[in-house]
Amino acid sequence: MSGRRVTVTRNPVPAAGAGTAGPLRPLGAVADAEPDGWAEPGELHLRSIVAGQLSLAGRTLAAVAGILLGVAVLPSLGEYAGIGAPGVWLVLCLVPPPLWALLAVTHLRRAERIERESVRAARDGG
Amino acid sequence: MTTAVVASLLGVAVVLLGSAAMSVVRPRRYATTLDFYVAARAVGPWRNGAAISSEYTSAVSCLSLAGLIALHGVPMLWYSVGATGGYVVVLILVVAPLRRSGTYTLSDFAQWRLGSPLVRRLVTGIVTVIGMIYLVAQLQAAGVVLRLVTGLPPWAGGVATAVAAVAVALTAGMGSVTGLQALQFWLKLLIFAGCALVLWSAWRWGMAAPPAAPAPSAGPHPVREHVLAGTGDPSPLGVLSVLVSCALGAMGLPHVIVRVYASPDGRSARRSVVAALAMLVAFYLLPPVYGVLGRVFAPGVPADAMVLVLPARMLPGPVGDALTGLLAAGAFAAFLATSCGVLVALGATLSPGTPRIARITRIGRFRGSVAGAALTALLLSWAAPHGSVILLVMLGFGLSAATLCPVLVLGIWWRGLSARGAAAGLVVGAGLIAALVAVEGLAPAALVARLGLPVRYPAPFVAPVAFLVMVAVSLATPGSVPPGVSRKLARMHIPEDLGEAGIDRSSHRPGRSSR
Repeated sequence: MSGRRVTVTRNPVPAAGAGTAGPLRPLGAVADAEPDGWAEPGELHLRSIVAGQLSLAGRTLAAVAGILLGVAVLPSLGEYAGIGAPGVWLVLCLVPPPLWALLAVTHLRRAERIERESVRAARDGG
Repeated sequence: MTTAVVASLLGVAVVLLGSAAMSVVRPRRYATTLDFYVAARAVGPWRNGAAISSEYTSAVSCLSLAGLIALHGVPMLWYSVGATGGYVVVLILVVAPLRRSGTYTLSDFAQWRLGSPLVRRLVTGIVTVIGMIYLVAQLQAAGVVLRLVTGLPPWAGGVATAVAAVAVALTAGMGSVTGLQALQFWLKLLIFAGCALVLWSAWRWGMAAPPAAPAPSAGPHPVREHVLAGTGDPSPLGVLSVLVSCALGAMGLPHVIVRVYASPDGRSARRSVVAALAMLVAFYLLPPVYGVLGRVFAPGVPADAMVLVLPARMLPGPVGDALTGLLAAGAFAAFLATSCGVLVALGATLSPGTPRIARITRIGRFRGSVAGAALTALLLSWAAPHGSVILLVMLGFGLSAATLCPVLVLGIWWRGLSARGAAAGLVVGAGLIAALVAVEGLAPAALVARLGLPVRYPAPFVAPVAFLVMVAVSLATPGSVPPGVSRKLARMHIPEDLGEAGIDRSSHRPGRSSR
């Protein structure tokens, strides 16, 4: 471990790799000053990025639930629409996979954008 | 010995011996213990993604799922939808923050985030149970497959898989295992897709004739499969149970979580999960194809055996024998990849708790834990009753959804989670699942029916309860919220780039590799 002092809140984690990493703190913050020794801008920055990621996560989760639900009601819808069993099979096999991939890629891009913007904001602010 | 037996033995031997040889002959040199565990974090998204997919596409995805689709039809198609959907949830909620936390196993995460040895022990216990369930399922499936294709006794397949998996896990570090698993994924995809193509074409072009009395094309098949915790039950609640287990449980699978750590940073970890998802999407197109073929050509065959019976039923003769051999090889690649991943994860989870005997290094303890876990799983796989392995694995998913999922999600996103809250939620979640499964398995059917839904479909009921208990107890015990929560959240959520822009990560990289 580097010579820098780090705050260890309890026993270090004894397993591989985990215990060796010191907690993160903003430059200039005194490590042992207080448990949550964050400078105000750091805390604001954290709150904004967590809020951004959470709202994105909420939206993507809603889409996941929507797809699962849609898939679950599809067979009965298919009966009404007269698609028939082979049609339902085809739709169930071929429609959700590309939707998952699309959802994942969209989420990845948005999450990375939130991070890029937060980095830019932090640099401008700092 | 028939050609089918020779082809199968050859295929299985090539996969098992080849994998073991690859890791023994070419073990990477690791400068430190950490390099051994984490492949020195040199694994790119695509390779790591292939390794993740390889561990995820276990015996269940390759064999049981197709078998269940053949038996029950449409309701089982949801399983493959849910299995992939679980990965999207992992991507959304867990991957990047978990990687940035810098913790290796789920137990490490619990200890780091909540600072409580009790929570760590609870998580270690649950992870061990899930890992064992997974291992037992792989070893049992290996026994079933090897007996089916060669006539060898059922213990032989389990022993062969366990020995090869231990050999790989003991000699190779995460780096070699990653390479091997990535290779096994492509091997599986190639074999299962190729055989599906050949069999489908044979059917389309009339080279294979369906049996005289084909199964009814719709509705549940008369053959009754055993049902466990909602899995294998084609009713809407059974499907819901499996979907909830898949969506929330994937994030708690120990072998998957350990994989995240092989990526160099949070962004790369996220990308490797997206890569894995792309590959899983391709792979999960296959079980329905085998399911349709199985419905037509092998009605009524037990779920785990259906895929391997198919070639001989459709194309009796040398072509069918060769395909059987190939599929057996692909199945063993699946058993081996998953067993290896679970063994490495279990070894890393259990080794810190093993007695510290002088002169035994950390790698020594890791290896001891791996060997111990494999032996225990082998004994359990003989002792446990044999059902379809998908039932076992889905039970693992359900347990994960009701215990590890709330700890991970609340731990990553909510600063109010207290150590007592987490412990209470874990105990309630695991206890309820265990109690309900025990009641379902042991109590008379009439009593189970009278007790109502949660007994038969535990996951969708217990997971929300565990979340609620965790939140309520945390709110009631603000005193046991660990200190330094803001710093921990910052570490999980603030991207690595900010190391240059004012956030100190000096201990983040050099610190971890300097040991």
